[in-house]
Amino acid sequence: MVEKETTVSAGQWDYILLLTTLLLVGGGVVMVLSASSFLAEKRFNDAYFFFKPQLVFMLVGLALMLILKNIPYQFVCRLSYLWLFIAIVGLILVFVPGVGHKVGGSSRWLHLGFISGQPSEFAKFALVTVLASSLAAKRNVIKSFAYGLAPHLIILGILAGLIVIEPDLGTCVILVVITVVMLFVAGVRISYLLSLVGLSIPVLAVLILRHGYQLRRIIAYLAPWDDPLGAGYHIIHSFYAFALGGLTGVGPGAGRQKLFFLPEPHTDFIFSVVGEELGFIGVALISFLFLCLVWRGIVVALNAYELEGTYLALGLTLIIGVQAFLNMFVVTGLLPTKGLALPFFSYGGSSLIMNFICVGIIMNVASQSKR
Amino acid sequence: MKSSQVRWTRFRIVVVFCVFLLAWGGLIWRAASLQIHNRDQLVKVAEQEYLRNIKLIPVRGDIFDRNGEKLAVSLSVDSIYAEPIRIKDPAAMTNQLVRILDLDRGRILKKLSSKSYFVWVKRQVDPDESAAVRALNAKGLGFIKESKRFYPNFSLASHLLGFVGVDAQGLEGIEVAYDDYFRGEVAYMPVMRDALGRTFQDRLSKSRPSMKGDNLTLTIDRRIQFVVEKALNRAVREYNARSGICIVLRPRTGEVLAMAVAPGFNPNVYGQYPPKRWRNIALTDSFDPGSTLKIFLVAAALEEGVVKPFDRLDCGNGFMSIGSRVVHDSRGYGRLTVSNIVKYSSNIGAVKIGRRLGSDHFYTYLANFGFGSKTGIDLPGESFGLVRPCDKWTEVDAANIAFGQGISVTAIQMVAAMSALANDGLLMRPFVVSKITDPSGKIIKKFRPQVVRRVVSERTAREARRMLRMVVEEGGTGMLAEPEGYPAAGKTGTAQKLDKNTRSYSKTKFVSSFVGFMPYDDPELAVLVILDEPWPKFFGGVVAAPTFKEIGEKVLPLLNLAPRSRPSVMTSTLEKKRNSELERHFGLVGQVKAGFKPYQLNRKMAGQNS
Repeated sequence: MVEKETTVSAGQWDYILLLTTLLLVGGGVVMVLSASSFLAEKRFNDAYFFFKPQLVFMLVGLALMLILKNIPYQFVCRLSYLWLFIAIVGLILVFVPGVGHKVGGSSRWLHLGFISGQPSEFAKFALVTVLASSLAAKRNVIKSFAYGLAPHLIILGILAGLIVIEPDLGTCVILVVITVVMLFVAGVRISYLLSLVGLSIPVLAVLILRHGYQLRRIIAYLAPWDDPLGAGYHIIHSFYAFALGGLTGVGPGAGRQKLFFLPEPHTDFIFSVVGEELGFIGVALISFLFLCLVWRGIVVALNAYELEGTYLALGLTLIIGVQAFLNMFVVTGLLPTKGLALPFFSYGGSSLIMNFICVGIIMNVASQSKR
Repeated sequence: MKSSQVRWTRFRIVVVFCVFLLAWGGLIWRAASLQIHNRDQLVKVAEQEYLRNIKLIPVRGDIFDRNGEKLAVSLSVDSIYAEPIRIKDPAAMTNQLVRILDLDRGRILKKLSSKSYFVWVKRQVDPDESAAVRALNAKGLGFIKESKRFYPNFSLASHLLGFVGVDAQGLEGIEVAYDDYFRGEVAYMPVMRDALGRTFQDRLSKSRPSMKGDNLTLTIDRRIQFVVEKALNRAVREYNARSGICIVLRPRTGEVLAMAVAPGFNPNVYGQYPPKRWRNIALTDSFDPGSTLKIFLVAAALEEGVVKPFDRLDCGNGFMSIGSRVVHDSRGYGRLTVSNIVKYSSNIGAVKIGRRLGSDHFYTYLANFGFGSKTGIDLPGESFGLVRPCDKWTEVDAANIAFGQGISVTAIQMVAAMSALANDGLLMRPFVVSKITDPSGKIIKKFRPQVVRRVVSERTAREARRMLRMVVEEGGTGMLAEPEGYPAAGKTGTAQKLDKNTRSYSKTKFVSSFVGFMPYDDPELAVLVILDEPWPKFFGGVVAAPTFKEIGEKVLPLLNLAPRSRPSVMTSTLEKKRNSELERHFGLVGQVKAGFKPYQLNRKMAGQNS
């Protein structure tokens, strides 16, 4: 960090981070093919219906990552309020008929001519950039409520509020977690954070009770076997997938739980397919890759050129890390079912491209790190 | 920013990483629990849900006679099933199906309208029907190949073979006795089911097990069985009998060459007959044997040395009082030798021999001849018969049993016991299956003749045979049994049936039988013929003996035995002894072994010379 500044060597690569990312995305697209081909064949008469666009998104993402690696992160941070503005506009537009698009009762999609995507994915990025630049700027007044806490909570409130009414509780939880962790690292009083967590519990309860399915998911989480054909159906079939995989898995492509038993085998429950096809070894390896990614991100944050870089690298790492671990916890039944994608694995362009963007910026922070 | 603050920030970042590390640990622990520790339990539950095992019933093994002729085969036919959940218009499909298949409209409509995944429409349909339904090309209908049992000889040996149900399960006869072999290994084809309930086969487990059961080769000779059934059916018709039984055994081995029950049934359509028609009464039913039992009494008495063949006994001119009862003979005889008691079938003579022998001895010999216990034949449903223990016999009982009344035996017991006399006193276990082969032809099991026990000495057996020969000779009760060209021996029996209404022996209902063996000097066949309630002729020597004769005349040539001159009982025993020695070493005299083709031998020899 700034005070210990020695030398800044621009242009250096964090090879471990690069390798980890490539391994994750490589495994990810293969699993998308495996998990989706049967469904795609049945539904669209084209086994590569999901695989082909995912491949394109991957290439676009890789390109963006390489570009962003060479754009100074300071530039990204300087435009943070622009990102925030775009995110807010996008989140509002999803409710506008014509551009917004409703899928399964939730308004999460935006169609703007040739491009479409989920603004909530972008919102996570926007929030992290705003928090990073703001927290770095307020480093000396961080303990004060008015400067250190309130502005950040307001930004979080706006974004989370918009996402919650989509509704998309999963992303909302991610935003809250990222914010709390960043505030904690920045040095906001622990008592504030604890009371913030305390306050969010009744809010969460209201949100859960408002949507019947959320409550059912909680019940299913607590006691999945009570209603194996109803609320517990998804998680139980996820359990089956893991169990059938055993130690070594049934082999790539040979999984059977993805055959309409698992909900969303190529998106939210893709990790169950990993569990079945690659077994415990695959599960351990892929979760380790995510841990590895987090570890590199943290190392980059620790060695960042200045505090803003630290916070930015940390926040971007959290976007991937928190989401990855929450998803893996959900499909293994450690947390209630939430609609969360597994970074680099789940099918979906917005998510994949945003993950590459995050890694690209982390790489830039790394390239400016001190030695 | 102060360096302490920096240190704290660094510390907090490390704390964050530690949280991730813990989360990773938790995840690994959870995955290990799901995938390793609790795996088996979860997999079991999972497989119940989506692994549906379809039971593959192998094609049932075939039944062959001793010469490899097919007695029962399995044909592969179509069975039609439906997947009602995939049928859009059950009513229309019902109409189509009813037009082709002979089905009940209401029941099919109900089946097709159900919500189930699988129902049978009609099983084991004709090829024409199957083709017509296939031509509909209807969604939701499917075909499964099933094996259907077919008996190419129709009613031939029906009671022996039995039949199978619609699921190819043995229900009667050999079909049920050897069901486990016929069935083969039932295979379970794991069929996956997706969440929509559709089944599909796993590409990885396509290897199907050998889908055929084992084949059985019987000791039965189809030709002999045919001759026997024809002769028996004619006798039953001619003498107005209720039913008839005929068993042909090889005395030396116990092999059953033929076993017939009249009237028969066609096992291809067994359902069209009343169930009692299916019963193999040769094993299941027992009857009072009548005079045929006398020879076993005499054999026992000879063995015990209480009489000699030429001892003379007073036969009281046809009357003998026992307590308040009187025993009759059909004709009044004075003093008869033991041989002639057998020849003329004197009841009084039998009672006197029985008294000399004593009830306990007689009982022991009856038991040793196999009466009162199962013979152990490899067919289902055999009964014990009824031989009451000798300490329960009254004087009258003992007298009755001496000439075969008041004792119950099965047909198979009788013919097996007669075979023991023909086989020099050794009782053999009768059997019908000679070998079991797997679908590739490898022999899995071979059944060899089994000696049950020695009942009487060789010498006693020879004496008994000589007496039985006399029965068939001029003046004996069994004269009509002698086949043209072959010497035979045997014993007639005419038992009164117990009338249930009057609780006494009937004067009009008889079980008439003839049991014997041929050729006399070298018994190849033991034959029992029984007619139940023949009328108005009823003497065993009159109604059953001619059937024995007919069977002998037609079957003995089949065994490649040339007709010969009639040896009398007086034929030099020396010559017979020589013959039997020869046979022991070279097989049967005058018999060409099956499969032996002289010209092949000649060719082979010529080849060796060149």
